Amino acid sequence: MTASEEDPVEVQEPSAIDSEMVPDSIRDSLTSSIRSAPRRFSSWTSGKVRSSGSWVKGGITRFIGFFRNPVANSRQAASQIRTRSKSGWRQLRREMDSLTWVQLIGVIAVFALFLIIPLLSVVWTSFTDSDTGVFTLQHFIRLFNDSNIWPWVYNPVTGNTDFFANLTPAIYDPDLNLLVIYGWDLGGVLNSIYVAILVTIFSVILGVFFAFIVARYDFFGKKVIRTLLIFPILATPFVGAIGIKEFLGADGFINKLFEPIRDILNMVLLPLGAPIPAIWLRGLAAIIFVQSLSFFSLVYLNAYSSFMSIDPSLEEQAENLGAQGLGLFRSVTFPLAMPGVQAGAILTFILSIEDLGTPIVFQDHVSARNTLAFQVFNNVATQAGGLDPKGPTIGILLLVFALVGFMAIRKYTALRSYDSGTKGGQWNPRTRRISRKATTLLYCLLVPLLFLALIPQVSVIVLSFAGTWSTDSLLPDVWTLDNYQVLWAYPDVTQSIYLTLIYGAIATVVIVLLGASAAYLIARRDIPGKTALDLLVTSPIALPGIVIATGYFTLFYNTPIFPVGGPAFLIIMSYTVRKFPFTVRAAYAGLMSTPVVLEEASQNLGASRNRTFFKITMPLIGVSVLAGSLLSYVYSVSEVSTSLILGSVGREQAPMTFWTAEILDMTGQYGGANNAACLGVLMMALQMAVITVTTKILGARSSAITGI
Amino acid sequence: MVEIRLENLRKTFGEVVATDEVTMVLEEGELSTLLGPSGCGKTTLLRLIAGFYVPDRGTIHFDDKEVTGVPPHKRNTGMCFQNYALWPHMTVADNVSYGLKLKRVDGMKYTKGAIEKRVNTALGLVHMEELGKRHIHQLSGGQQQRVALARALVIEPGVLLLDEPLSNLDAKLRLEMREEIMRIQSELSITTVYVTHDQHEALSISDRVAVMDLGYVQQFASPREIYSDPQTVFVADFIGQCTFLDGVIQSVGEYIDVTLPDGQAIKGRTTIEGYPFEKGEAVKCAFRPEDLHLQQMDPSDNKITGKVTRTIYIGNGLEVYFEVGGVSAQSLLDPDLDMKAGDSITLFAPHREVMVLPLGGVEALRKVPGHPMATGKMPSMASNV
Repeated sequence: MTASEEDPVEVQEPSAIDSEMVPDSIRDSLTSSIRSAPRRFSSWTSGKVRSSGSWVKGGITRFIGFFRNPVANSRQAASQIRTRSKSGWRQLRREMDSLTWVQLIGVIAVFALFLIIPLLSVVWTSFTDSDTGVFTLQHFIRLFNDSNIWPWVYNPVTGNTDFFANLTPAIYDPDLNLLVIYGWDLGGVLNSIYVAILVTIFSVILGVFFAFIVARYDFFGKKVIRTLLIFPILATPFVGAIGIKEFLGADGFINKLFEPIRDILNMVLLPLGAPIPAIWLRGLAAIIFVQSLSFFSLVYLNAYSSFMSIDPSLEEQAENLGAQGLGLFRSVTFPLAMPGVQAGAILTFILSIEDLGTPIVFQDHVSARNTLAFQVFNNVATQAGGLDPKGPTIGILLLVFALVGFMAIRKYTALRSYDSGTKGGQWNPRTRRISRKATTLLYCLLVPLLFLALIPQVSVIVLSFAGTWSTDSLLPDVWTLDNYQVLWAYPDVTQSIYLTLIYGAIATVVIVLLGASAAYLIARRDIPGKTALDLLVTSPIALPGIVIATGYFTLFYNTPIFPVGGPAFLIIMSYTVRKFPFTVRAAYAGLMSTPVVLEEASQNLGASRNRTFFKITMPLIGVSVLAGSLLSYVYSVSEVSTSLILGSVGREQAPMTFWTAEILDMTGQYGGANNAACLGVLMMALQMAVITVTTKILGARSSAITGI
Repeated sequence: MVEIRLENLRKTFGEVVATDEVTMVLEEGELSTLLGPSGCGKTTLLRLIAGFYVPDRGTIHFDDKEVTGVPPHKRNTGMCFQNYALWPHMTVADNVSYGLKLKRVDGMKYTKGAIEKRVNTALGLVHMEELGKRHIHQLSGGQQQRVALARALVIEPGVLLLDEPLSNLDAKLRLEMREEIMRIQSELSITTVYVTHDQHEALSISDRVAVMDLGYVQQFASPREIYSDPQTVFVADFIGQCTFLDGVIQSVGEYIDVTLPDGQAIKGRTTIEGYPFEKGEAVKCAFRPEDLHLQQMDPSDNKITGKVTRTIYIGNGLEVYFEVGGVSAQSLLDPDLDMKAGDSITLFAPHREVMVLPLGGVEALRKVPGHPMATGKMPSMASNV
């Protein structure tokens, strides 16, 4: 029509049209027919279903007519059910096509096999008698009779309830002027809870403080501080703990650093009988310290993106009405940032409770061993052959705490408002330049805090290069690279570095394939049970790795996929499942910031859903998926809990984190903290490289995604 | 060219009824507008036609082919989205050629050369032939709008669907693009459905306008008819200005006698052919500002007396607001008139200029024999098939 008017060559003669068209290639049509086969099959079946539906309908009508007593209500109900099931099926058929089926089945299969069924098997093991298979609560009863787990133990001999707890949190040694702090020991359950609560409180205070300063003020060196604040999230508490342990010892760096000041003050205070002691953090106190310094960055990132996504006009309006300073912060800013802060806080709580690495590092004090995570580890890892139900039973307790926390996050919907951070750039955030004097003041506050926050990283690096280190010296006497020989001193360690990278890579490939699919289904398809799917794929963020690993033992041990001494496959699968949420989140955020009309426009022009997914959706969200997958990779590589448990039964196939723990525990030329720190530094370097790439790719958006 | 036949369509989202009982025929080559306030269901209706939604009830036919459950990519409709939905990872030419690369006619596909030629033709149609290599972010709003239009047109769709295509443009560009769309539409004489909430836009470009409210099509008629013979109070109110006076019917004859609450009597006409008015029925008398005159044309003209509350000089006229029986009425009078608030005013309206409308909106139309609201079918369907 147009053509005939504007371009005489394109006159609508049949031959002219034909010359413009060529037969669709066989390959193309073959692939398209294969692609559309499931749809054709389902439309065929649905046709059958529909026709049989009408047969049933006729039957019902005849049946009712036969009795000549048509009860209006029942007929209406019947027709309602009929139309509802019919429309439900129609909806499913409409929403699903070949690709979607593959995506959905893939995601569900992996999660069922490597998450749900293992967890169920943990539940099963802990509630049944291992010999008879009969339901029993005796494992739990026995658990609560164990003074390592629960302080009030009933004594059948005396008939009394005995109270086993160490309520002295610290010991003071007047000879050395040394205060050893290790915290109250109330048994595993209460220890884990109170440690997690304290860690959460400290993390929130630190995190919100930094987030507010960085989000609202402009000052010299802000960029550097922002970058420094990303570091803590990288190192797992496990790696940081290795360094901190040495730094916090009786003769450690911190005590040495403050010794001169203490000496001067004590000249005055000693005669008064109240000298300032050197402080040695051990056990639970050390765990609280290390975890707070590692996890505060989670709160920081979440709170930061919340602060940045607050519509400036909301605060301006409050100022316009007379609010100012702290009042403004308390009445408007903080409540608006609350979802992010809450999400960060609850996540901190969960991660603290399930953290296995830190208790392992500090296990030389009994209170650190009395934590739920360590108890599971101790009872599963050492009993790998014939499984003691004790491990799974403690695991159930952990699982319950984690699930309660996860549900709380979901309730505050912060996990779902993935895209909240991306709005940051759309308006000018309210950053205020502060005067030089105020900057100086700020730095007086920031520098000690930052120093504190970076101790885990700094200490590990220092430790790895330390040669001899005399007890009265602040820094090592000799700097050396010799510690790094550990990397090739043992073939298993060298091997573990390669293996870690490979495990991470394979897991990441699977994660990308399934994660993009899951995010797409959740964001774009209106399928029944979508919420459940969303819940399923984000839950691993909260589910304790040790419990999942325990499930692998109870379910798969001594089967072809988990042969004795061969945990490699399950290590990969555990990485896949556990680090899945990072990619799903990123892909989901990408989809949310991509208008759905872009895909509709493609369908409107004749592209099927499959083609639209590959041609339009994937290119548009590709960057987000890439960023998410890099994060998944980083966290896979540094994964601790499942690596340690699964690695313990197959040392040749164990990943780096396992060998870091082993080396830390070993004695001899290539054993101990200095050599373990070398592996830690290697891991941090690797993570740093990946994160730098991610930030480069994503720019400002990365902070929104790294925040969990 | 395609005739679109919608029959008794209903679409709900959970508890919310987005659109209901929509029965209409959009004729071949016609430009129809869906007009209404936001939330009236007009975009839902458009997306039902495009296939992005499947109706809960009712059918959609393109010519004689039922497409109710056909997925969007098999409907051969060209749609322009409100925000244009241009793919940022492709150039202008890539965007436009996308649909052609996918198009198959009897198992044949376009050659590379043919695609290029057609893309150029389509870009020429919207005066964008020079900009094929540009990326989307290098285009202005108006240019993006043109590319979106070209992308929809190049596949030679049977139906062109435009979802508020001009709402993101500034006033001048909007007029320009409106002309452009009308030119292209009439050039290709393609069946077009146009969604807008701007009544001037709707009245000026459409062959027929469907005024929608609360999910119902209130009236589907030519712009002239919509203005002069509104069938519901909503239509009269939404299109142009209108004053409504409550009244009760005294008698029904060639004209309808209505008594206002303050006792004034008014004679008016019905705009709904076949509506069974009854004595004693509560109705609304509606008149447009320009239909009230200071001079009596005919001794039997309606006489309306009130008190002036406000006057606004608008250059080509004087808007006089006055109060009749507690209701604020509006008239458009000679700009030279000297009148101020507080004056009493007497105006005259011929019988044919006063519209007597039943209460109850579209529900009232069910009483009209043969009306789609009563039958669920288009009265003219037989002649169209």
